[in-house]
Amino acid sequence: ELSSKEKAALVAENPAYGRVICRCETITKGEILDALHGPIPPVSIDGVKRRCNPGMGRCQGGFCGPRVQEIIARELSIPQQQVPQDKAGSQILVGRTKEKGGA
Amino acid sequence: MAEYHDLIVVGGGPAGLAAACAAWEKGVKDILILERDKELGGILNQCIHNGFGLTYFKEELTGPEYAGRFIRMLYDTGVTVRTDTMVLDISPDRRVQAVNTHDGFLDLKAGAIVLAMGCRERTRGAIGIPGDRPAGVLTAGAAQRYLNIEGYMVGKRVVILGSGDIGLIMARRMTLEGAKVLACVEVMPYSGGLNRNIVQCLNDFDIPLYLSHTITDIVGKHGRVEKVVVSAVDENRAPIPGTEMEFDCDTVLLSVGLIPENELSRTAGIEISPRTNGPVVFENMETSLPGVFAAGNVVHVHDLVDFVTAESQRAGRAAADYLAGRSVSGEADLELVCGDRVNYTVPRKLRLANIDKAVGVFFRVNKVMEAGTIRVTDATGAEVAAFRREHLAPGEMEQIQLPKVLLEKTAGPITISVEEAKEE
Repeated sequence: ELSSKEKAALVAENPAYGRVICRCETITKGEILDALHGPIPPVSIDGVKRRCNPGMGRCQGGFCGPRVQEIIARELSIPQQQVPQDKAGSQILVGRTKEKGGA
Repeated sequence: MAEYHDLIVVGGGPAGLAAACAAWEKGVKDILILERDKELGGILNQCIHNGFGLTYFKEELTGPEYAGRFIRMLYDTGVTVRTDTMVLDISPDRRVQAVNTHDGFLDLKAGAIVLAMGCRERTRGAIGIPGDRPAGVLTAGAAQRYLNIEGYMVGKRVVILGSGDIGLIMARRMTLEGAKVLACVEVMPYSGGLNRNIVQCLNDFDIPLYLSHTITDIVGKHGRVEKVVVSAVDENRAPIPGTEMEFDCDTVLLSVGLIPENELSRTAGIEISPRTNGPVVFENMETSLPGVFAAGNVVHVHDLVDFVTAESQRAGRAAADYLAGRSVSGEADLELVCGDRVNYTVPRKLRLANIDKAVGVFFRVNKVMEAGTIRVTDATGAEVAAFRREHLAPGEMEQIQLPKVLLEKTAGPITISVEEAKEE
């Protein structure tokens, strides 16, 4: 909702606002980081979605999902595999590729 | 004060790369590619299977290799590239607004634009699969990104909805990484993917394909998918009660269609075709906005990247002609109309002045046919040209060449139809 001048100023001040993570809703990394560092931070992908919208657009998180997951993992200092979709037990990743053992 | 470039290409995937190289070769020296990902290559970067370039290079390359060939071609040109850059808006007077962390907010103006944004995947919500919303339901392309770019596994027991190419490729990919793919479920009575993928991804791994079936329930009450219910469907694609099968799985991959990404095209006021969900284009890939061209999956979803390259080179050369004042803009001389068995054509409008010797017309049929005759008829219904083809299918895009000498004598609109060959 910012004007071009306001956008330019914001990105100059904090480059994280220059990296668009959710392309459908135009949500930047800066906004996601703000949510994750707020007083009551979200701890899941859907939590971030409810707080600042990535994943609510036309691709429903297909593009931004992996990126939001990576950001959450880094900010909460947990392995990416532990990041839940929503509630406990709703992890998306089950392991790394090229590991031994199948289904 | 906006930064001016002769040609701005939106998207650095196979379409954008081919268009930029072609425009450079035809004399445009100020070209800027804007790419939102951190590298060029587009979706090809995550398509690590081979089969790309059979026509163009006469080789079977992987996706990254095919993209790599064009990226290397780009090195020999003076085309500039900005990666990690997201285009936010394109206006009808060809102003482009973009943003990245390095340059900040970019205010650009283009002499000509090539749109090459590709497409996105259709989602679960869009087709309304009932049930719980546990983790483990994702689109096949998203899963492909996790596996091939980030190196993570997304599940152990998988059911795939949709037998389009992405679903077939992921059936094989998941199997090769140790998952058990229980089934591929397809709502139509035929598969939407290339025949070689059915053979190499399903048959070779004994993965059953259930045609005329769909997922009617996803169950997962403790966070993750636990099972899905698959039912047979009738000729109206409605589930048939009593045919339910249950599959114990923890992952559902959706390969239920690709949709061209035209938000930027829409805000620029470009006319979009409801049949393709992409811009209506002229013979040279120009959209309804003069000086704005489009190519690749953003126009219509392709099966073969070789066709994307050909189409994008056409757009790049056309952009060069436009900038040099060598091309004709404005209204069409002839329009192409879909007849029997044809879903859509690209292009839809022809201006003879911009056609050299012939124009290539891409189209898709709406039925699987062992053999058929493609008929080109004029306004009176008289046949102007006919082409015999074997193995026509909705999942395999067709191309015909219409010679200029023929078009000059034809009263439009021109209808393209396919007549199925009778059983002998």
